[in-house]
Amino acid sequence: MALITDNEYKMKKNKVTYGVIVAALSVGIIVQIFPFIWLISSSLKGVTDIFELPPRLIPKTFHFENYAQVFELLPLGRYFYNTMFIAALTIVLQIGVSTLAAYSLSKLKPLYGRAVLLFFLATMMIPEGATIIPRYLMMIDFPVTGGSLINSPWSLILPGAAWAWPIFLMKGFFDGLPNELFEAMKVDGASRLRTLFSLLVPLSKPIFAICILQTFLGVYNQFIIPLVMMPDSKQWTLMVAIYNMQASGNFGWHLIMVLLVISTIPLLVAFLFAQKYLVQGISMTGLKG
Amino acid sequence: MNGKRMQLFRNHAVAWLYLLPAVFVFALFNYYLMLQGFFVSFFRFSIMKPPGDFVGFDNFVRMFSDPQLWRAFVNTLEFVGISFLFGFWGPIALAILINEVRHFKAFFRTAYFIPAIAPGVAILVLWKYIWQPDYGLANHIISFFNIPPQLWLNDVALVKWVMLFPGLIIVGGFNFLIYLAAVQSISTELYEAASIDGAGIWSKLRHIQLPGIAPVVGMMVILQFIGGMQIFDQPLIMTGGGPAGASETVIMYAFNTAYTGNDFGYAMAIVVTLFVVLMLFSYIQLRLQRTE
Repeated sequence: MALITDNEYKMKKNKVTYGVIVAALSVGIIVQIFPFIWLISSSLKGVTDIFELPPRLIPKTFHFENYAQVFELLPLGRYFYNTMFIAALTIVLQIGVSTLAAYSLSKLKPLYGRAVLLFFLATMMIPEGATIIPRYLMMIDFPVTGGSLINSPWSLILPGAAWAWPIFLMKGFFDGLPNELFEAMKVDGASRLRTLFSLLVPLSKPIFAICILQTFLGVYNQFIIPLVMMPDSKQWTLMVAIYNMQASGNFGWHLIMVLLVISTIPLLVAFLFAQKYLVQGISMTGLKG
Repeated sequence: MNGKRMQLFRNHAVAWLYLLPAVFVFALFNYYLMLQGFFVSFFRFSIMKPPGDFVGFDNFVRMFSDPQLWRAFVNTLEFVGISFLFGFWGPIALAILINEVRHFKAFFRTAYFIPAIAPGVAILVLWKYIWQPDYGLANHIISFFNIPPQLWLNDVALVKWVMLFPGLIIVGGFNFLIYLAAVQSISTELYEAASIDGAGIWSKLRHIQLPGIAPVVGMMVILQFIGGMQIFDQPLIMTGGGPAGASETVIMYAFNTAYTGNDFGYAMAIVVTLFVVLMLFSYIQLRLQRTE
């Protein structure tokens, strides 16, 4: 019940309004989906079909071999591995660092804790575009240790740990966990570390799922930073590979479409798994307030 | 007494131990990073022998007499304007409409969210193909309305609109979910009460829903502005800054200055200035919101 309240809904004229809303939403779904249908259709067209006029929705013949061809032409396995390697390690590092910090801020209450939280949150105001060049300069000659991290996945993984959003989400979630449970652990003589692993972590699965998902999404979609940091084609991530292929002019549109379709699949899989945690998470962050 | 203070100190010390990894990475990859960037902007930076020659504020002064930078700045403002026109209201309207749905709400929510999952790069490349003047879908579709074929991305006047158009189509996404949560949190009694008072749908919309989500909208405005000022992916993938610099944004100009022009010092000056401008804007926006 909302703009049309339950009582109003009973009236005929409001049923019509409601019908219009549902119809509009349904048409909207088709509009949303259409580019993807076009995408899949284009990925199944032959090398000349993609230039044919007028463009047809259903290809004359289905060229499923396009997919095999792309796998032959490009080391997709390598690109996928590069992307997943960076994603996995970034997630581990970031979630690890963030959990420790959020646990401390929420349950251990260190001195100057509020200042530290501000210290973390303030970094979210740094515009991302502003960091591309400084990050490159930092990776060419890494401070203290020296040496270059260019063409190394660590140039993406290490800075990935420094994202304030998971700390903010986790702290909010941990704050919501009843303190009695933690008191009980303390009374039992449990160390802080044990409390963290045997009490906090199992309870916080929803927020971990959300943070992992968001980080995965962020890393997977990253394109400019890996492009700049890892120009060596052996190190390309999926997104970088897509950009380079479509910019080269040598790779047919139909094959590029295949690449695009393939690149969407890991995200679809990840989201189907985590669907239920997402909406839960958004309401939990209190952003609606 | 001493024992208790020791205990307190130990507690805080251990708590800080847990904080240290995060503090360390943030200090290094955020604060030190920006400081280093700021430092570089005062030099004619040389990659070979860093940091190169000290030039003081020269890089900053140079920004004022750089016509290409001003052009990029105007472009960027246009992009921001268009992005507010296209991309901002969609998710809000969608959230409000879906909130009305009584059956299959989850279905609609999912159906609108899934298209937003596709990787950004993939969407941009797909639309680059659609906007192709010779064989793309766009010209084919407008031919049904007897409109002559357009150059789209190659058209100086159209390019910015064309580039941001996909944002109009995809209204679902994280923003939409946030708005939906905001709308759903409005107490239903308010609608009942208004209804009894004789309020119609539009009235309820204006007086209950919009004020109800105003705080969230306010926050999103700031985020959208900051994001819009840094648009870079779209032009890089779709046009490379063309045609004739019509889609070159400030960040893209800085990027090219650094990597193609090898002038990191000047590029950083641009970036630092943008950063300061955005900070100022956010601060002003937040103050304005607080006084409302």
